[in-house]
Amino acid sequence: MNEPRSARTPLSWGMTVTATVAAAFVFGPLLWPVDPHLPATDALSFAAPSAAHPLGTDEQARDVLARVLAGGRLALHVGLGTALITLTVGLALGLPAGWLGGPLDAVVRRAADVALAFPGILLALLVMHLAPPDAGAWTVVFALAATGWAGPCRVVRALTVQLRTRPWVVAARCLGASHARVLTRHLLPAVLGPAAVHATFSVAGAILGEASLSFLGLGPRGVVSWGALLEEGAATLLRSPRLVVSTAMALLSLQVGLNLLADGLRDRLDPRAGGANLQHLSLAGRTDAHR
Amino acid sequence: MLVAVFIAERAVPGDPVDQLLGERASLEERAELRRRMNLDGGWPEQAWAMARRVARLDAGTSWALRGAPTPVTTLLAEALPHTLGLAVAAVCVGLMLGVPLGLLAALRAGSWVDHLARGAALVSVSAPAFVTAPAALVLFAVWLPLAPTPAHDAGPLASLVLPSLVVGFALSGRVARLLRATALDVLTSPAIEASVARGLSRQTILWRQVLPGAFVPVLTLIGLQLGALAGGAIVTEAIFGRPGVGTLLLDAISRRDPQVVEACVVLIAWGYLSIQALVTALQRRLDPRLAVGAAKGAGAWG
Repeated sequence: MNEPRSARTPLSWGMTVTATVAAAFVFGPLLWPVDPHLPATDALSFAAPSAAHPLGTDEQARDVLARVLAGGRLALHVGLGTALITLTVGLALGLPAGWLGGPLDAVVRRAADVALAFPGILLALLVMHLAPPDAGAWTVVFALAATGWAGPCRVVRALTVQLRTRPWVVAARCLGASHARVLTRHLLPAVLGPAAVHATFSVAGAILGEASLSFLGLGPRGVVSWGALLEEGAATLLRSPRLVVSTAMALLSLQVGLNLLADGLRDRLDPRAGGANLQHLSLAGRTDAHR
Repeated sequence: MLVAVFIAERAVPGDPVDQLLGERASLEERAELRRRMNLDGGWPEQAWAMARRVARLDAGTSWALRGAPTPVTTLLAEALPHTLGLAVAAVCVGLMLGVPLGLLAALRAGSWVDHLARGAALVSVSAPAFVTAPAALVLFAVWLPLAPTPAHDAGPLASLVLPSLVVGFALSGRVARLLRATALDVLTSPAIEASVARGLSRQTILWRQVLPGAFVPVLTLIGLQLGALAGGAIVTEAIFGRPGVGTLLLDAISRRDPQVVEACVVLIAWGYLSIQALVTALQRRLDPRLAVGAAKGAGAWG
Protein backbone atom coordinates (compact mmCIF):
# COMPACT_ATOMS: atom_id res chain seq x y z
CA MET A 1 0.00 0.00 0.00
CA ASN A 2 3.06 2.29 0.24
CA GLU A 3 3.63 2.16 -3.48
CA PRO A 4 2.20 4.90 -5.69
CA ARG A 5 -1.30 4.35 -6.99
CA SER A 6 -0.19 3.88 -10.58
CA ALA A 7 1.74 0.76 -9.56
CA ARG A 8 -1.54 -0.95 -8.80
CA THR A 9 -1.94 -2.66 -12.16
CA PRO A 10 -4.62 -5.23 -12.97
CA LEU A 11 -1.91 -7.85 -12.58
CA SER A 12 -1.12 -6.97 -8.98
CA TRP A 13 -4.82 -6.54 -8.14
CA GLY A 14 -5.57 -9.89 -9.74
CA MET A 15 -2.77 -11.62 -7.88
CA THR A 16 -3.84 -10.09 -4.58
CA VAL A 17 -7.52 -10.91 -4.97
CA THR A 18 -6.95 -14.42 -6.32
CA ALA A 19 -4.35 -15.27 -3.68
CA THR A 20 -6.55 -13.99 -0.84
CA VAL A 21 -9.67 -15.76 -2.02
CA ALA A 22 -7.85 -18.98 -2.89
CA ALA A 23 -6.09 -18.99 0.48
CA ALA A 24 -9.46 -18.57 2.17
CA PHE A 25 -10.76 -21.69 0.45
CA VAL A 26 -7.60 -23.72 0.98
CA PHE A 27 -7.13 -22.89 4.66
CA GLY A 28 -10.70 -21.91 5.52
CA PRO A 29 -11.92 -25.45 6.22
CA LEU A 30 -8.95 -25.85 8.61
CA LEU A 31 -9.73 -22.63 10.46
CA TRP A 32 -13.48 -23.20 10.45
CA PRO A 33 -13.71 -26.95 11.06
CA VAL A 34 -17.48 -27.28 10.89
CA ASP A 35 -18.89 -30.21 8.93
CA PRO A 36 -20.67 -28.76 5.89
CA HIS A 37 -22.88 -31.85 5.54
CA LEU A 38 -24.30 -32.11 9.05
CA PRO A 39 -27.12 -29.97 10.46
CA ALA A 40 -26.02 -27.76 13.34
CA THR A 41 -27.15 -28.94 16.76
CA ASP A 42 -27.36 -25.45 18.19
CA ALA A 43 -29.40 -23.65 15.54
CA LEU A 44 -32.66 -23.91 13.63
CA SER A 45 -33.01 -23.72 9.87
CA PHE A 46 -32.53 -20.27 8.32
CA ALA A 47 -30.93 -19.03 11.55
CA ALA A 48 -29.68 -15.45 11.40
CA PRO A 49 -25.93 -14.86 11.54
CA SER A 50 -24.45 -15.36 15.00
CA ALA A 51 -21.05 -16.00 16.58
CA ALA A 52 -21.51 -19.77 16.15
CA HIS A 53 -22.68 -19.39 12.53
CA PRO A 54 -21.28 -16.18 11.02
CA LEU A 55 -23.34 -16.56 7.84
CA GLY A 56 -26.34 -18.23 9.46
CA THR A 57 -27.72 -21.63 8.53
CA ASP A 58 -29.58 -23.04 5.53
CA GLU A 59 -32.89 -24.86 5.22
CA GLN A 60 -31.50 -27.99 6.89
CA ALA A 61 -29.75 -25.96 9.61
CA ARG A 62 -26.32 -26.53 8.09
CA ASP A 63 -23.65 -23.88 8.55
CA VAL A 64 -23.58 -21.64 5.47
CA LEU A 65 -19.98 -20.51 5.97
CA ALA A 66 -18.72 -24.10 6.11
CA ARG A 67 -20.70 -24.95 2.97
CA VAL A 68 -19.44 -21.96 1.00
CA LEU A 69 -15.86 -22.78 2.02
CA ALA A 70 -16.28 -26.43 1.02
CA GLY A 71 -17.71 -25.29 -2.33
CA GLY A 72 -14.66 -23.08 -2.80
CA ARG A 73 -12.35 -26.04 -2.30
CA LEU A 74 -14.19 -28.00 -4.95
CA ALA A 75 -14.11 -24.99 -7.30
CA LEU A 76 -10.34 -24.65 -6.91
CA HIS A 77 -9.86 -28.38 -7.37
CA VAL A 78 -11.91 -28.49 -10.57
CA GLY A 79 -10.54 -25.19 -11.90
CA LEU A 80 -6.87 -26.00 -11.38
CA GLY A 81 -7.24 -29.65 -12.37
CA THR A 82 -9.01 -28.83 -15.63
CA ALA A 83 -6.60 -26.02 -16.51
CA LEU A 84 -3.60 -28.26 -15.84
CA ILE A 85 -4.93 -31.08 -18.01
CA THR A 86 -6.08 -28.86 -20.86
CA LEU A 87 -2.78 -26.94 -20.80
CA THR A 88 -0.74 -30.15 -20.87
CA VAL A 89 -2.78 -31.71 -23.66
CA GLY A 90 -2.84 -28.42 -25.59
CA LEU A 91 0.96 -28.17 -25.43
CA ALA A 92 1.52 -31.85 -26.16
CA LEU A 93 -0.66 -31.69 -29.28
CA GLY A 94 -0.30 -28.07 -30.38
CA LEU A 95 3.49 -27.85 -30.37
CA PRO A 96 4.26 -30.88 -32.56
CA ALA A 97 1.26 -30.13 -34.81
CA GLY A 98 2.44 -26.59 -35.47
CA TRP A 99 6.08 -27.59 -35.80
CA LEU A 100 5.77 -30.66 -38.01
CA GLY A 101 2.65 -29.74 -39.98
CA GLY A 102 1.51 -32.39 -42.43
CA PRO A 103 -0.86 -35.21 -41.53
CA LEU A 104 -0.36 -34.85 -37.76
CA ASP A 105 -1.35 -31.19 -38.02
CA ALA A 106 -4.39 -32.05 -40.10
CA VAL A 107 -5.58 -34.66 -37.60
CA VAL A 108 -5.04 -32.38 -34.58
CA ARG A 109 -6.84 -29.49 -36.27
CA ARG A 110 -9.77 -31.67 -37.23
CA ALA A 111 -10.04 -33.06 -33.70
CA ALA A 112 -9.86 -29.57 -32.19
CA ASP A 113 -12.55 -28.36 -34.58
CA VAL A 114 -14.83 -31.19 -33.50
CA ALA A 115 -14.20 -30.43 -29.82
CA LEU A 116 -14.88 -26.73 -30.40
CA ALA A 117 -18.10 -27.42 -32.27
CA PHE A 118 -19.63 -28.81 -29.07
CA PRO A 119 -21.03 -25.60 -27.68
CA GLY A 120 -20.26 -24.91 -24.05
CA ILE A 121 -20.84 -27.67 -21.60
CA LEU A 122 -22.87 -29.91 -23.90
CA LEU A 123 -20.34 -32.73 -23.92
CA ALA A 124 -19.68 -32.33 -20.20
CA LEU A 125 -23.43 -32.63 -19.62
CA LEU A 126 -23.50 -35.89 -21.59
CA VAL A 127 -20.45 -37.26 -19.79
CA MET A 128 -21.81 -36.37 -16.36
CA HIS A 129 -25.13 -37.95 -17.19
CA LEU A 130 -23.41 -41.17 -18.23
CA ALA A 131 -21.04 -41.16 -15.27
CA PRO A 132 -21.62 -43.64 -12.44
CA PRO A 133 -23.69 -42.26 -9.57
CA ASP A 134 -20.65 -41.86 -7.32
CA ALA A 135 -18.82 -39.63 -9.82
CA GLY A 136 -16.62 -37.18 -7.96
CA ALA A 137 -14.67 -34.04 -8.71
CA TRP A 138 -12.20 -35.77 -11.03
CA THR A 139 -15.01 -36.97 -13.27
CA VAL A 140 -16.09 -33.35 -13.67
CA VAL A 141 -12.50 -32.39 -14.43
CA PHE A 142 -12.30 -34.94 -17.23
CA ALA A 143 -15.77 -34.04 -18.51
CA LEU A 144 -14.74 -30.39 -18.81
CA ALA A 145 -11.29 -31.22 -20.19
CA ALA A 146 -12.87 -33.39 -22.91
CA THR A 147 -13.58 -30.27 -24.97
CA GLY A 148 -11.45 -27.77 -23.05
CA TRP A 149 -8.13 -28.92 -24.51
CA ALA A 150 -9.04 -27.57 -27.95
CA GLY A 151 -8.72 -23.90 -26.96
CA PRO A 152 -5.12 -24.01 -25.69
CA CYS A 153 -4.20 -26.44 -28.46
CA ARG A 154 -5.37 -23.97 -31.08
CA VAL A 155 -3.49 -21.07 -29.47
CA VAL A 156 -0.28 -23.07 -29.06
CA ARG A 157 -0.43 -24.39 -32.61
CA ALA A 158 -1.04 -20.96 -34.13
CA LEU A 159 1.88 -19.48 -32.17
CA THR A 160 4.17 -22.35 -33.11
CA VAL A 161 3.39 -21.83 -36.79
CA GLN A 162 4.24 -18.14 -36.40
CA LEU A 163 7.50 -18.90 -34.59
CA ARG A 164 8.58 -21.76 -36.83
CA THR A 165 10.48 -19.54 -39.26
CA ARG A 166 11.98 -17.13 -36.72
CA PRO A 167 15.77 -16.78 -37.05
CA TRP A 168 16.56 -18.24 -33.65
CA VAL A 169 14.53 -21.34 -34.38
CA VAL A 170 16.08 -21.80 -37.82
CA ALA A 171 19.52 -21.20 -36.30
CA ALA A 172 18.93 -23.87 -33.70
CA ARG A 173 18.00 -26.34 -36.43
CA CYS A 174 21.07 -25.38 -38.47
CA LEU A 175 23.27 -26.01 -35.45
CA GLY A 176 21.97 -29.56 -35.46
CA ALA A 177 19.39 -29.42 -32.69
CA SER A 178 16.94 -32.30 -32.84
CA HIS A 179 13.19 -31.79 -33.26
CA ALA A 180 12.69 -32.63 -29.61
CA ARG A 181 15.30 -30.12 -28.52
CA VAL A 182 13.87 -27.31 -30.63
CA LEU A 183 10.41 -28.05 -29.29
CA THR A 184 11.34 -28.22 -25.63
CA ARG A 185 14.18 -25.70 -25.37
CA HIS A 186 13.24 -23.11 -27.99
CA LEU A 187 9.54 -23.22 -28.78
CA LEU A 188 8.06 -24.35 -25.45
CA PRO A 189 9.39 -21.36 -23.47
CA ALA A 190 8.16 -19.01 -26.19
CA VAL A 191 4.58 -20.28 -26.20
CA LEU A 192 4.38 -20.85 -22.45
CA GLY A 193 3.44 -17.24 -21.69
CA PRO A 194 0.34 -17.03 -23.90
CA ALA A 195 -0.52 -20.59 -22.90
CA ALA A 196 -0.37 -19.54 -19.24
CA VAL A 197 -2.75 -16.65 -19.94
CA HIS A 198 -5.09 -19.10 -21.58
CA ALA A 199 -4.77 -21.48 -18.64
CA THR A 200 -5.70 -18.71 -16.22
CA PHE A 201 -8.84 -17.99 -18.21
CA SER A 202 -9.62 -21.69 -18.30
CA VAL A 203 -9.37 -21.96 -14.51
CA ALA A 204 -12.13 -19.35 -14.36
CA GLY A 205 -14.04 -21.08 -17.14
CA ALA A 206 -13.82 -24.52 -15.53
CA ILE A 207 -15.05 -23.15 -12.21
CA LEU A 208 -18.09 -21.73 -13.98
CA GLY A 209 -18.52 -24.98 -15.90
CA GLU A 210 -18.54 -27.06 -12.73
CA ALA A 211 -20.97 -24.67 -11.09
CA SER A 212 -23.26 -24.83 -14.14
CA LEU A 213 -23.23 -28.64 -14.11
CA SER A 214 -24.02 -28.69 -10.40
CA PHE A 215 -26.70 -26.06 -10.86
CA LEU A 216 -28.35 -28.31 -13.44
CA GLY A 217 -28.09 -31.23 -11.04
CA LEU A 218 -25.30 -33.00 -12.93
CA GLY A 219 -22.34 -32.02 -10.78
CA PRO A 220 -20.06 -34.18 -8.67
CA ARG A 221 -21.86 -36.25 -6.07
CA GLY A 222 -21.16 -36.29 -2.36
CA VAL A 223 -19.40 -32.92 -2.24
CA VAL A 224 -20.62 -29.39 -1.71
CA SER A 225 -20.64 -27.30 -4.88
CA TRP A 226 -21.40 -23.63 -5.45
CA GLY A 227 -23.71 -24.50 -8.30
CA ALA A 228 -25.78 -26.77 -6.07
CA LEU A 229 -25.76 -24.17 -3.28
CA LEU A 230 -27.07 -21.52 -5.68
CA GLU A 231 -29.73 -23.91 -6.92
CA GLU A 232 -30.81 -24.69 -3.34
CA GLY A 233 -30.66 -21.04 -2.40
CA ALA A 234 -32.68 -19.91 -5.43
CA ALA A 235 -35.57 -22.09 -4.29
CA THR A 236 -35.71 -20.28 -0.95
CA LEU A 237 -34.51 -16.94 -2.27
CA LEU A 238 -37.33 -14.84 -0.93
CA ARG A 239 -37.36 -16.48 2.47
CA SER A 240 -33.65 -16.24 3.08
CA PRO A 241 -31.36 -14.74 0.44
CA ARG A 242 -28.30 -15.35 2.63
CA LEU A 243 -27.20 -18.61 0.98
CA VAL A 244 -27.44 -17.19 -2.53
CA VAL A 245 -25.76 -13.92 -1.59
CA SER A 246 -22.83 -15.56 0.23
CA THR A 247 -22.24 -18.14 -2.48
CA ALA A 248 -22.57 -15.59 -5.25
CA MET A 249 -20.14 -13.25 -3.49
CA ALA A 250 -17.58 -16.04 -3.06
CA LEU A 251 -17.90 -17.11 -6.69
CA LEU A 252 -17.80 -13.55 -7.99
CA SER A 253 -14.72 -12.59 -6.01
CA LEU A 254 -12.81 -15.63 -7.25
CA GLN A 255 -13.94 -14.98 -10.84
CA VAL A 256 -13.07 -11.29 -10.74
CA GLY A 257 -9.68 -12.11 -9.24
CA LEU A 258 -8.89 -14.72 -11.87
CA ASN A 259 -10.06 -12.53 -14.74
CA LEU A 260 -7.97 -9.60 -13.46
CA LEU A 261 -5.00 -11.90 -13.13
CA ALA A 262 -5.41 -13.20 -16.67
CA ASP A 263 -5.93 -9.68 -18.04
CA GLY A 264 -2.85 -8.50 -16.22
CA LEU A 265 -0.74 -11.37 -17.49
CA ARG A 266 -1.92 -10.69 -21.01
CA ASP A 267 -1.12 -6.98 -20.77
CA ARG A 268 2.31 -7.84 -19.41
CA LEU A 269 2.96 -10.06 -22.42
CA ASP A 270 1.60 -7.56 -24.91
CA PRO A 271 2.05 -4.07 -23.50
CA ARG A 272 0.40 -2.37 -26.46
CA ALA A 273 -2.82 -0.53 -25.73
CA GLY A 274 -5.23 -2.94 -24.14
CA GLY A 275 -3.47 -5.94 -25.58
CA ALA A 276 -5.80 -6.32 -28.54
CA ASN A 277 -3.20 -8.58 -30.10
CA LEU A 278 -3.74 -11.28 -27.54
CA GLN A 279 -7.36 -10.37 -26.94
CA HIS A 280 -8.42 -13.52 -28.75
CA LEU A 281 -6.91 -15.49 -25.90
CA SER A 282 -9.83 -14.60 -23.71
CA LEU A 283 -12.26 -15.62 -26.44
CA ALA A 284 -10.75 -18.79 -27.79
CA GLY A 285 -12.01 -21.82 -26.00
CA ARG A 286 -14.60 -19.90 -24.04
CA THR A 287 -17.92 -20.12 -25.75
CA ASP A 288 -19.41 -19.51 -22.36
CA ALA A 289 -20.67 -22.67 -20.91
CA HIS A 290 -22.38 -20.98 -18.06
CA ARG A 291 -25.43 -19.59 -19.74
CA MET B 1 -19.26 -35.41 -33.04
CA LEU B 2 -22.19 -37.59 -34.00
CA VAL B 3 -19.97 -40.61 -33.57
CA ALA B 4 -19.12 -39.52 -30.03
CA VAL B 5 -22.79 -39.06 -29.17
CA PHE B 6 -23.71 -42.38 -30.76
CA ILE B 7 -21.11 -44.27 -28.74
CA ALA B 8 -22.03 -42.45 -25.55
CA GLU B 9 -25.72 -43.27 -25.98
CA ARG B 10 -25.02 -46.96 -26.43
CA ALA B 11 -22.34 -47.18 -23.80
CA VAL B 12 -24.68 -46.30 -20.95
CA PRO B 13 -25.66 -49.25 -18.84
CA GLY B 14 -29.39 -49.79 -18.80
CA ASP B 15 -31.87 -50.16 -21.60
CA PRO B 16 -34.00 -47.24 -22.74
CA VAL B 17 -36.76 -49.65 -23.66
CA ASP B 18 -36.96 -50.99 -20.11
CA GLN B 19 -37.09 -47.47 -18.81
CA LEU B 20 -39.96 -46.54 -21.11
CA LEU B 21 -42.19 -49.54 -20.68
CA GLY B 22 -41.51 -50.37 -17.07
CA GLU B 23 -41.40 -53.76 -15.43
CA ARG B 24 -44.70 -55.13 -16.60
CA ALA B 25 -44.33 -54.97 -20.36
CA SER B 26 -44.46 -58.27 -22.21
CA LEU B 27 -41.60 -59.59 -24.29
CA GLU B 28 -43.55 -58.98 -27.52
CA GLU B 29 -44.19 -55.37 -26.60
CA ARG B 30 -40.52 -54.87 -25.86
CA ALA B 31 -39.41 -56.39 -29.14
CA GLU B 32 -41.92 -54.28 -31.05
CA LEU B 33 -40.82 -50.99 -29.49
CA ARG B 34 -37.19 -51.95 -29.87
CA ARG B 35 -37.72 -52.50 -33.58
CA ARG B 36 -39.57 -49.20 -34.00
CA MET B 37 -36.89 -47.31 -32.07
CA ASN B 38 -34.23 -48.76 -34.39
CA LEU B 39 -32.56 -50.37 -31.40
CA ASP B 40 -32.77 -53.93 -32.71
CA GLY B 41 -29.71 -55.33 -34.39
CA GLY B 42 -26.11 -54.85 -33.41
CA TRP B 43 -24.07 -51.68 -33.25
CA PRO B 44 -23.06 -51.69 -36.92
CA GLU B 45 -26.69 -51.90 -38.01
CA GLN B 46 -27.68 -49.13 -35.62
CA ALA B 47 -24.84 -46.94 -36.84
CA TRP B 48 -25.79 -47.56 -40.47
CA ALA B 49 -29.43 -46.72 -39.75
CA MET B 50 -28.36 -43.51 -38.07
CA ALA B 51 -26.07 -42.51 -40.93
CA ARG B 52 -28.96 -43.07 -43.36
CA ARG B 53 -31.31 -40.96 -41.24
CA VAL B 54 -28.77 -38.13 -41.07
CA ALA B 55 -28.28 -38.24 -44.82
CA ARG B 56 -32.06 -38.04 -45.36
CA LEU B 57 -32.37 -35.28 -42.72
CA ASP B 58 -34.84 -37.52 -40.96
CA ALA B 59 -34.65 -36.76 -37.28
CA GLY B 60 -36.69 -39.78 -36.26
CA THR B 61 -39.29 -40.10 -33.55
CA SER B 62 -39.14 -39.31 -29.88
CA TRP B 63 -40.48 -42.05 -27.62
CA ALA B 64 -39.78 -40.77 -24.15
CA LEU B 65 -40.60 -37.07 -23.96
CA ARG B 66 -44.33 -37.00 -24.64
CA GLY B 67 -47.09 -39.44 -23.84
CA ALA B 68 -47.35 -40.43 -27.49
CA PRO B 69 -44.52 -40.91 -29.96
CA THR B 70 -43.75 -37.49 -31.46
CA PRO B 71 -41.64 -36.69 -34.51
CA VAL B 72 -38.44 -35.08 -33.30
CA THR B 73 -38.82 -32.36 -35.91
CA THR B 74 -42.04 -31.28 -34.19
CA LEU B 75 -40.28 -31.06 -30.84
CA LEU B 76 -37.47 -29.03 -32.37
CA ALA B 77 -39.84 -26.79 -34.27
CA GLU B 78 -41.64 -26.01 -31.02
CA ALA B 79 -38.40 -25.31 -29.15
CA LEU B 80 -36.53 -23.31 -31.78
CA PRO B 81 -38.56 -20.08 -31.75
CA HIS B 82 -38.04 -19.74 -27.98
CA THR B 83 -34.31 -20.26 -28.32
CA LEU B 84 -33.84 -18.02 -31.36
CA GLY B 85 -35.98 -15.30 -29.80
CA LEU B 86 -33.84 -15.32 -26.69
CA ALA B 87 -30.61 -15.41 -28.70
CA VAL B 88 -31.57 -12.42 -30.86
CA ALA B 89 -32.96 -10.40 -27.96
CA ALA B 90 -29.88 -11.14 -25.86
CA VAL B 91 -27.52 -10.07 -28.64
CA CYS B 92 -29.50 -6.81 -29.02
CA VAL B 93 -29.27 -6.14 -25.28
CA GLY B 94 -25.60 -7.06 -25.28
CA LEU B 95 -24.83 -4.65 -28.13
CA MET B 96 -26.97 -1.85 -26.69
CA LEU B 97 -25.13 -2.08 -23.37
CA GLY B 98 -21.71 -3.14 -24.57
CA VAL B 99 -21.04 -0.87 -27.56
CA PRO B 100 -21.54 2.48 -25.76
CA LEU B 101 -19.63 1.17 -22.75
CA GLY B 102 -16.68 -0.02 -24.81
CA LEU B 103 -16.55 3.09 -27.02
CA LEU B 104 -16.77 5.47 -24.06
CA ALA B 105 -14.02 3.58 -22.27
CA ALA B 106 -11.77 3.77 -25.33
CA LEU B 107 -12.45 7.48 -26.00
CA ARG B 108 -11.83 8.40 -22.38
CA ALA B 109 -9.07 5.84 -21.78
CA GLY B 110 -7.44 6.27 -18.39
CA SER B 111 -10.20 8.45 -16.94
CA TRP B 112 -12.68 7.49 -14.26
CA VAL B 113 -15.25 6.70 -16.98
CA ASP B 114 -12.82 4.13 -18.35
CA HIS B 115 -12.20 2.60 -14.94
CA LEU B 116 -15.90 2.43 -14.20
CA ALA B 117 -16.69 0.86 -17.56
CA ARG B 118 -13.90 -1.68 -17.22
CA GLY B 119 -15.06 -2.56 -13.73
CA ALA B 120 -18.63 -3.07 -14.94
CA ALA B 121 -17.42 -5.18 -17.84
CA LEU B 122 -15.29 -7.27 -15.51
CA VAL B 123 -18.26 -8.02 -13.27
CA SER B 124 -20.36 -8.87 -16.29
CA VAL B 125 -17.72 -11.28 -17.59
CA SER B 126 -17.29 -12.85 -14.16
CA ALA B 127 -20.93 -13.32 -13.24
CA PRO B 128 -22.59 -16.49 -14.53
CA ALA B 129 -26.30 -16.66 -15.35
CA PHE B 130 -27.15 -18.49 -12.16
CA VAL B 131 -25.84 -15.51 -10.20
CA THR B 132 -27.28 -12.73 -12.33
CA ALA B 133 -30.65 -14.42 -12.84
CA PRO B 134 -31.65 -14.52 -9.15
CA ALA B 135 -30.37 -10.96 -8.80
CA ALA B 136 -32.43 -9.83 -11.79
CA LEU B 137 -35.48 -11.67 -10.47
CA VAL B 138 -35.31 -10.05 -7.07
CA LEU B 139 -34.52 -6.62 -8.51
CA PHE B 140 -36.97 -6.40 -11.41
CA ALA B 141 -39.73 -8.82 -10.48
CA VAL B 142 -39.97 -8.47 -6.71
CA TRP B 143 -38.67 -5.05 -5.64
CA LEU B 144 -39.69 -3.16 -8.76
CA PRO B 145 -42.51 -5.25 -10.18
CA LEU B 146 -41.75 -4.41 -13.80
CA ALA B 147 -41.15 -7.80 -15.33
CA PRO B 148 -43.07 -11.03 -14.86
CA THR B 149 -41.60 -13.82 -12.76
CA PRO B 150 -41.40 -17.24 -14.41
CA ALA B 151 -44.41 -18.28 -12.36
CA HIS B 152 -46.61 -15.77 -14.17
CA ASP B 153 -47.61 -17.07 -17.53
CA ALA B 154 -46.81 -13.91 -19.36
CA GLY B 155 -46.96 -13.21 -23.08
CA PRO B 156 -44.09 -14.24 -25.33
CA LEU B 157 -42.56 -10.76 -25.33
CA ALA B 158 -42.89 -10.00 -21.62
CA SER B 159 -41.41 -13.34 -20.64
CA LEU B 160 -38.42 -12.56 -22.83
CA VAL B 161 -37.44 -9.47 -20.83
CA LEU B 162 -35.61 -10.98 -17.88
CA PRO B 163 -33.86 -13.88 -19.67
CA SER B 164 -32.59 -11.61 -22.42
CA LEU B 165 -31.40 -9.10 -19.83
CA VAL B 166 -29.50 -11.84 -18.04
CA VAL B 167 -27.85 -13.26 -21.15
CA GLY B 168 -27.42 -9.81 -22.68
CA PHE B 169 -25.68 -8.54 -19.55
CA ALA B 170 -23.17 -11.37 -19.77
CA LEU B 171 -22.62 -10.58 -23.46
CA SER B 172 -22.27 -6.83 -22.94
CA GLY B 173 -19.13 -7.16 -20.83
CA ARG B 174 -17.44 -9.24 -23.51
CA VAL B 175 -18.48 -6.81 -26.23
CA ALA B 176 -17.30 -3.81 -24.19
CA ARG B 177 -13.91 -5.31 -23.36
CA LEU B 178 -13.20 -6.32 -26.93
CA LEU B 179 -14.49 -3.06 -28.42
CA ARG B 180 -12.41 -0.99 -26.00
CA ALA B 181 -9.25 -2.84 -27.01
CA THR B 182 -9.89 -2.71 -30.75
CA ALA B 183 -11.13 0.90 -30.69
CA LEU B 184 -7.96 1.94 -28.85
CA ASP B 185 -5.96 0.22 -31.56
CA VAL B 186 -7.78 2.15 -34.27
CA LEU B 187 -7.67 5.44 -32.36
CA THR B 188 -3.90 5.30 -32.02
CA SER B 189 -3.36 4.38 -35.66
CA PRO B 190 -1.82 6.84 -38.19
CA ALA B 191 -5.02 6.77 -40.26
CA ILE B 192 -6.94 8.56 -37.51
CA GLU B 193 -4.15 11.07 -37.04
CA ALA B 194 -4.30 11.79 -40.76
CA SER B 195 -8.07 12.29 -40.59
CA VAL B 196 -7.69 14.71 -37.69
CA ALA B 197 -5.06 16.56 -39.70
CA ARG B 198 -7.45 16.75 -42.67
CA GLY B 199 -9.87 18.52 -40.36
CA LEU B 200 -12.64 15.93 -40.32
CA SER B 201 -15.05 16.38 -37.44
CA ARG B 202 -14.90 14.13 -34.42
CA GLN B 203 -18.31 12.74 -35.28
CA THR B 204 -17.26 11.76 -38.77
CA ILE B 205 -14.09 10.13 -37.55
CA LEU B 206 -15.92 8.25 -34.84
CA TRP B 207 -18.78 6.92 -36.94
CA ARG B 208 -17.07 6.49 -40.29
CA GLN B 209 -13.65 5.26 -39.27
CA VAL B 210 -13.31 4.16 -35.66
CA LEU B 211 -16.50 2.19 -35.30
CA PRO B 212 -16.33 0.20 -38.55
CA GLY B 213 -12.67 -0.53 -38.02
CA ALA B 214 -13.10 -1.63 -34.44
CA PHE B 215 -16.27 -3.57 -35.07
CA VAL B 216 -14.91 -6.47 -37.12
CA PRO B 217 -13.58 -8.48 -34.16
CA VAL B 218 -16.76 -7.67 -32.24
CA LEU B 219 -18.69 -9.22 -35.09
CA THR B 220 -16.68 -12.41 -34.71
CA LEU B 221 -17.44 -12.42 -31.01
CA ILE B 222 -21.15 -11.89 -31.61
CA GLY B 223 -21.12 -14.66 -34.19
CA LEU B 224 -19.45 -17.12 -31.83
CA GLN B 225 -21.83 -16.21 -29.04
CA LEU B 226 -24.87 -16.40 -31.30
CA GLY B 227 -23.73 -19.84 -32.38
CA ALA B 228 -23.40 -20.92 -28.78
CA LEU B 229 -26.78 -19.39 -27.91
CA ALA B 230 -28.49 -21.15 -30.80
CA GLY B 231 -27.74 -24.33 -28.91
CA GLY B 232 -29.94 -23.01 -26.16
CA ALA B 233 -28.82 -20.98 -23.19
CA ILE B 234 -29.17 -24.12 -21.09
CA VAL B 235 -28.80 -22.57 -17.64
CA THR B 236 -30.91 -19.50 -18.36
CA GLU B 237 -33.64 -21.60 -19.94
CA ALA B 238 -33.63 -23.86 -16.89
CA ILE B 239 -33.91 -20.95 -14.46
CA PHE B 240 -36.72 -19.19 -16.26
CA GLY B 241 -38.45 -22.38 -17.33
CA ARG B 242 -38.29 -21.51 -21.02
CA PRO B 243 -39.12 -24.39 -23.37
CA GLY B 244 -36.13 -23.90 -25.68
CA VAL B 245 -33.61 -26.20 -27.30
CA GLY B 246 -31.46 -26.28 -24.15
CA THR B 247 -34.37 -27.47 -22.04
CA LEU B 248 -35.33 -30.02 -24.68
CA LEU B 249 -31.78 -31.36 -24.75
CA LEU B 250 -31.54 -31.50 -20.97
CA ASP B 251 -34.86 -33.36 -20.81
CA ALA B 252 -33.79 -35.74 -23.55
CA ILE B 253 -30.51 -36.49 -21.79
CA SER B 254 -32.15 -37.21 -18.46
CA ARG B 255 -35.02 -39.21 -20.00
CA ARG B 256 -32.73 -41.26 -22.24
CA ASP B 257 -34.15 -40.28 -25.59
CA PRO B 258 -31.34 -40.98 -28.08
CA GLN B 259 -33.18 -39.66 -31.16
CA VAL B 260 -33.79 -36.27 -29.59
CA VAL B 261 -30.23 -35.96 -28.28
CA GLU B 262 -28.84 -36.82 -31.70
CA ALA B 263 -31.13 -34.37 -33.45
CA CYS B 264 -30.30 -31.58 -31.00
CA VAL B 265 -26.58 -32.18 -31.37
CA VAL B 266 -26.82 -32.14 -35.16
CA LEU B 267 -28.91 -28.98 -35.09
CA ILE B 268 -26.58 -27.24 -32.66
CA ALA B 269 -23.44 -28.16 -34.57
CA TRP B 270 -25.04 -27.19 -37.86
CA GLY B 271 -26.23 -23.86 -36.50
CA TYR B 272 -22.81 -23.17 -35.04
CA LEU B 273 -20.98 -23.94 -38.26
CA SER B 274 -23.36 -21.98 -40.49
CA ILE B 275 -23.11 -18.92 -38.26
CA GLN B 276 -19.33 -19.24 -38.36
CA ALA B 277 -19.44 -19.30 -42.16
CA LEU B 278 -21.76 -16.28 -42.20
CA VAL B 279 -19.45 -14.34 -39.90
CA THR B 280 -16.41 -15.15 -42.01
CA ALA B 281 -18.21 -13.93 -45.13
CA LEU B 282 -19.34 -10.72 -43.40
CA GLN B 283 -15.84 -10.08 -42.09
CA ARG B 284 -14.42 -10.23 -45.59
CA ARG B 285 -16.95 -7.65 -46.71
CA LEU B 286 -15.99 -5.31 -43.88
CA ASP B 287 -12.25 -5.86 -43.88
CA PRO B 288 -10.73 -6.46 -47.32
CA ARG B 289 -7.43 -7.51 -45.76
CA LEU B 290 -9.06 -10.68 -44.46
CA ALA B 291 -10.15 -11.73 -47.94
CA VAL B 292 -6.54 -11.51 -49.08
CA GLY B 293 -5.41 -13.48 -46.05
CA ALA B 294 -8.00 -16.14 -46.74
CA ALA B 295 -6.92 -16.38 -50.36
CA LYS B 296 -3.47 -17.23 -49.10
CA GLY B 297 -5.00 -20.00 -47.08
CA ALA B 298 -4.68 -18.40 -43.67
CA GLY B 299 -8.32 -18.89 -42.71
CA ALA B 300 -9.49 -19.15 -39.15
CA TRP B 301 -6.34 -20.94 -38.15
CA GLY B 302 -4.06 -18.02 -39.06
